[in-house]
Amino acid sequence: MGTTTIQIENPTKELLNELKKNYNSKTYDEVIKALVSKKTKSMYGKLAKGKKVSAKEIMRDLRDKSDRF
Amino acid sequence: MIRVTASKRFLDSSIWIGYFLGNIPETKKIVDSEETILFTSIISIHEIFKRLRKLGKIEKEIKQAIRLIEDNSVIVGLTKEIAIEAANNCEKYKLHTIDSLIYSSAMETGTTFITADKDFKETPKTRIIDVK
Repeated sequence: MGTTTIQIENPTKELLNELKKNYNSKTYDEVIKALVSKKTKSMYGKLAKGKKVSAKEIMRDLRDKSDRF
Repeated sequence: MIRVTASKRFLDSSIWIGYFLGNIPETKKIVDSEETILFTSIISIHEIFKRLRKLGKIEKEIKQAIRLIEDNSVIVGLTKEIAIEAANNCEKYKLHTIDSLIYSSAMETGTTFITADKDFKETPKTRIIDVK
């Protein structure tokens, strides 16, 4: 992923520094993403239609638990 | 609104899938909370897409689900540091490679790892949601 440079005023940078500390974030990128991330309409249960699948069934084979080496 | 007291949570693939299918009720509060900064591994995007497709969900629905994840969480890619830490954590906590890469990504971002997978019972800063 590429990076770029943006210009912000010093007081804004101070605010970002404060949030960076509060979020325990390592980068400004993470803080900005958290601030601008949209909280979209909930999709809880939105894909539930069709065959009912239990959470336990979902867990089964969700991840390949074998190692290549 | 600036959320200065927000907590940080790193969600495993199982939590997101449970959220979209509505079969892990606790996930609603976690994902829909505005007070929480969410993180997701890029590996989970792969797993969620694959799993939802296997469950017969249509491409449009799956893309909407992935879009929600992107809009509501910080997607964490892999780095050399995460890869090396994952190798250490494989040995330390007897984790498989993918488990360890995701868990190590969570630790690298200083978050609490939330999962429904009991294979993480030994790892610190982990909350396992019990599923039925």
